[in-house]
Amino acid sequence: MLFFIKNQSGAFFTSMNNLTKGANAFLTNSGIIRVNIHWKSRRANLEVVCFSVMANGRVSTDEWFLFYNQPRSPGSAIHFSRQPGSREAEFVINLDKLPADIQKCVFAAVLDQGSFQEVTDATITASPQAGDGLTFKIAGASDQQAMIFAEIYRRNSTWKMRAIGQGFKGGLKSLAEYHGVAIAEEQPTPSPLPSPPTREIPPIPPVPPVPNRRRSGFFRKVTVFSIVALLVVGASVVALNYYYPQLMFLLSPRLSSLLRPVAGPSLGDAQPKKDYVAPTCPFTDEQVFDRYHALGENYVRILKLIDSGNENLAKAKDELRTLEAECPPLFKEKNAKEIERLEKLPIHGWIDEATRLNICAGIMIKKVESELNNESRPNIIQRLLKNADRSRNLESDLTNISRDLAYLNNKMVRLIEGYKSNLEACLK
Amino acid sequence: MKYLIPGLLISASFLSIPIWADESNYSSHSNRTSPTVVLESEMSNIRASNAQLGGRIKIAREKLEEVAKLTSEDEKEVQVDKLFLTLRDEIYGVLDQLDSNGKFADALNQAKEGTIVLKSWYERQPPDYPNRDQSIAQLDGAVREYDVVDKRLTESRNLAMEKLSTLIRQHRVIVQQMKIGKVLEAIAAARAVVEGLNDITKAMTVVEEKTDKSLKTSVPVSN
Repeated sequence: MLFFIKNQSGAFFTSMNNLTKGANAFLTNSGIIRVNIHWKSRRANLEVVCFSVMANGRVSTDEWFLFYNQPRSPGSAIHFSRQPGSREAEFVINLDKLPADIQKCVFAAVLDQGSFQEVTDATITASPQAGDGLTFKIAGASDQQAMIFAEIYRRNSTWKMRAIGQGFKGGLKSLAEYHGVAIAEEQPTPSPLPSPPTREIPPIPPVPPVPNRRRSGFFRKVTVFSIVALLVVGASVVALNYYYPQLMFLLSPRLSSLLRPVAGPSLGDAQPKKDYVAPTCPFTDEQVFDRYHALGENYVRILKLIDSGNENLAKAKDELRTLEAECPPLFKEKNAKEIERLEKLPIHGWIDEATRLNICAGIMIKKVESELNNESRPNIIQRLLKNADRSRNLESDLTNISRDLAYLNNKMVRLIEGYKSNLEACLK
Repeated sequence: MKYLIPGLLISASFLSIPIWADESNYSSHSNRTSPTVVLESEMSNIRASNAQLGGRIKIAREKLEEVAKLTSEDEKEVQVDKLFLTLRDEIYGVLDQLDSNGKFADALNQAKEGTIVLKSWYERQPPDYPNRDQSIAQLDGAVREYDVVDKRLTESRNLAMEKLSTLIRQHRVIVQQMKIGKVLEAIAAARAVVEGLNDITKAMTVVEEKTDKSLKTSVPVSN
C-alpha cells in the first residue's frame, strides 16, 4: 500500500510500505534514516524513547538511551526532537556514524498515565534517504503503560525494520532496565532489621522522564549557562564525595549515600568494573508458566513451518533445475507465497520472550535455592526440591527453545533468500 | 453406569492437563543431537564429496587424453558430451553440499546460533559467576571461527557456481567446435575447464580445514 507522509520539516517522503505486526523488511544499506512516531489521542501523552543496543540487547552505556532529556547520542549518530505539546517525535539516525557494536535501535513509548488502549492511531515510520520507507500502525494496543513499537537492526551489511507492537509491563523503569539502563529507585525507609548488603549498586542513572516538570516553565527556560553551571556543580559534588566522603556526609548524608558505592573501588584501582545490573522478572511464577506454554506451543508451530519451508525449497530447487523453458506461473506463485509466509513468522518476538522467561526461570531457581538453604523441615524441603527441579527443567527447556528459535530465525532468513534466488533465476 | 467409565476417563484427562502442561518439554520436538556432532558428520560428507570431485577431475583428464587419440570424430563428440554431463552432475552434487540451505550450512548455523545464545546467557550472569568472563571470551572466539567457516563456505559456493556456469557455457561451445572439425581447440578448451574445477576442490579443502579448526576451538553446546 502506498501513501504520502509529511515529516516535521514539511518534506514529503516518497512511497511507504506497510508492515504488519512481527513483519520485517529491508530499509537501506547506509546513510540517514528518519524515524517518526506520531499518535492522535489528545488524552495520552507519550514519552518516546530509543535504546541503541548491542547484540546482547543492552546499551553499551546509558548515553545510548535517548529521550527528551538526552536528545543526542555519542558522536551525534542519533538526534531526537519533539516540539513541546506535539503528538509527533522524530529520530534522525546517521547509520554510518553508529558504532559497529550497535546492532539495533529499539523505539518505544511510555505513558505517564493510562494505558495504550487510550492511544489511537499510533504509527511509526522509517524513511531512508533513498528508496521506499516503511510504516507500522500499532494495532491491538495493550493495557500496559509501555510499548515497544519497532526496531531497526543490522542484517549482514544492510539495515532492516521490524514491526513489534509489544506491550511491556512495568513502565519506563522495567523497559529501561530490560535494555541495560539503570534507573534510580526511591531510597526505602529503614526497616527494623538490616537487609543483607548488596554486592552491586547500579550506576547513577540518567534522570527518568518526569513529564510535569518538563512541561513547567522552568525547564523550557534552561540556558546554556545553567547547564554548564549544573555540570560544574555536579562534578564538584562527585569529586568532593570521592576524595572527602566524611565531609560530604556531614553536608548531606542522603546525597552522600546515593553517590557512594557500597563496595566501590579503592583509590588504587585503575578502572572500576562496569556495574552489573541484576536482571528482573516482571511476571509472577504462574504467569511465567502460562507464558512458557504459549511460547512452547508457538515454538513447535514455527519449527514445523520452517521444516515445511525447507522441504518445499528443496523441491523448488530440483524443479528449477529440470525446467527447460520459462518458469511456469505456478512455480513463481509458489515461491512468492513461501516468501510471504516466512516473512510473517514473528520469530524475533518469541526469541525476546524466551530470553525474558529464561531470566525469570533463573530468578525462580535462585529464590527456591535460597529458601532451601534456610529450611530444615523435611516435608518442606521435599516440596522445595520439587519446585527447584521444576524451575531447572523450565530453564533448561527455555535455553533449548532460545537456541532453536535463534537458529530458526537464521534459517528463515536463509530460506527467504533461497526462494528469492529461485525467483531471480526465473527472471533471467 | 454406561456413562461412568467414559466420564471418569474424560475427568482424568482434564485433571492430567495441568500436570502435563508444567512438565512438558517443548524442545524435545526438535532433533536434539548436538550441533557440533551434526557439523562434524556433515563435514565428513563435504570431505567425501570433495574427494569424489577430485577423482572425477582425474578421470576426466585421463578421458580427454583418450578422446584425443580417437579416430572417429563422432565418437570424440559423444565422449566429450558425456564427460561434460557427468561433470555437470558432479558439480550440482557439490553445490547441494555447499548450498546456503544445505545440511552443512544448517549445522554450521545451528552451532553458531547456539553458541551466541549461550554467550548471552553468560553475559546475563553476575560478574562473580564461575568462569563467566572466561566462558564469554571462549564462546566469542567460537562464534568468530564459525563466521570464518561461513565466509569460506560462501566463497566456495560462489566459486562452484561460477565454474558450473563456465562448464555449461563451454560445453555448448566445445561440442560446436567438434562439429565443425576444430577438435584440437575443443580438447584444449575442455582440458582448461576440467583443470579449472580443481579450484573448487581447493576451496572445499579450506572449508574442511576451517571447520575442523572451529570444531576444535568450539565450546560444546549441550542438548
